[in-house]
Amino acid sequence: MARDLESIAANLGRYLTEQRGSPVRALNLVESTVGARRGNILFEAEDSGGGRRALVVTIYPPAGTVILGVEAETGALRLAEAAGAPVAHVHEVCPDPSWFGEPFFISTRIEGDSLPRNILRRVAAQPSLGTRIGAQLGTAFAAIHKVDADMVPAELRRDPPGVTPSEAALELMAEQLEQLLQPAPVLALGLRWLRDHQPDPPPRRSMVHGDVRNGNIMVGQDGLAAILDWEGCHTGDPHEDLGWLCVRTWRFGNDSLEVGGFSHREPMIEAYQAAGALFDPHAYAWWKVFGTLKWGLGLAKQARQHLDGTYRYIAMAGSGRRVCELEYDLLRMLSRLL
Amino acid sequence: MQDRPTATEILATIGEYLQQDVLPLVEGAVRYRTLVAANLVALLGREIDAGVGAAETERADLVALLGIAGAEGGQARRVEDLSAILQARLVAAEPLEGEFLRASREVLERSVRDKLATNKPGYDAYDMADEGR
Repeated sequence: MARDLESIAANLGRYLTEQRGSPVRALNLVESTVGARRGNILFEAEDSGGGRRALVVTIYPPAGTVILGVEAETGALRLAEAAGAPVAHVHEVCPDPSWFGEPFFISTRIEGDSLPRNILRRVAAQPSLGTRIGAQLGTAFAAIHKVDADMVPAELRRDPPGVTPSEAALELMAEQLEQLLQPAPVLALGLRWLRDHQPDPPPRRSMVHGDVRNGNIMVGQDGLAAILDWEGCHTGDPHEDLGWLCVRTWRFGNDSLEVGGFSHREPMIEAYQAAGALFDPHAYAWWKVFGTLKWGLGLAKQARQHLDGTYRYIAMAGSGRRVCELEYDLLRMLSRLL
Repeated sequence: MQDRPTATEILATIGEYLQQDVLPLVEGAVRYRTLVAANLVALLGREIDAGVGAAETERADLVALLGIAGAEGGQARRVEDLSAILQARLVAAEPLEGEFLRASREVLERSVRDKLATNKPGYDAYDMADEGR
């Protein structure tokens, strides 16, 4: 999406000048390719003394496609930061669409790589980096999951009273299965297995990021620098985050390293437990199967949106032919578990 | 009979055009879309090469698995209809175990591997069943 960076720079300058009460200029704007759905624009803010700070402005997508409002998302980000998780510090939150057409927030720019293939290239050259990222993710998850479900912004999705996180998640999934364009016995078998083998509900519900994967993390010189993209944040079973991160798709071909293609699972789990979080192997295995089915359904949905004209896009046509990858992974996982 | 080039020869030609002529000229989002297009063209070529063998195997597997034979077995039944019947039986099976489940998994795994051979050759070289709990 091409944006008019000149007018954005002028508006950013005016907005920050108003907020700070002293002149601020926005310089060196670059539109980032990260987070295709929304606009992430990197820039520098220069104050009247000439001091510069590297920042990023995140502009929301049009109202109909917003998953989580700007105040709820930044509320979750700030809770995660206060709990000790590596995230970009939020400086300004503006629900007023008059500045850029949509709400936005401004946060500290974190230096590093977020493209999965770049991260895997660096890990190939320095394997200890991968193990370190795995452990850092375990520690970060423990911090995020320390945030109690009762503390999060009210807008975040939560399970209805009396419904366990796994039951609520399966209900959303059953609706998606019904919308498929063709019979999918493997996906239906996966859903059936998940229904029959639900884990015990977690002792307490926590904030869950919902989309931590290779592609939503920023890796700097010292490993994990930030967890990005909090628009899927909700409450539920913490194991959902662990299982989703370890879905095979996010390994980008580096299959034997379960965590994002850069680490075995042990460093992550050990660091998670060392930071005081509870790890239940059955719940982890269940949420990994869940994540695999969820992504299979997600890809099928992309193909459907392409075919029915909702969102005509060649990559989403290709998604339809990737569903069988997740079906294969599901069948192989179930061959052990059934 | 159609004249040369054949369908697969045409697809290979389009693939070469995308890879050699277009890719060096484009970047960013267009480059990504071009790569996807090249990948889809290659996939189509493999699908044509695979012919109807896999679909016939899948159909015969499903007919045998579901015990649908003879006149009502319907030579006319499509793979899609048979899959829908299998799906309904798997969802309704009580309990979900035993010989029917074992045989179903075998049939489904064969059909998934056939799809992968077209869509993503080599994907089944890795086995998630080996990942301990």
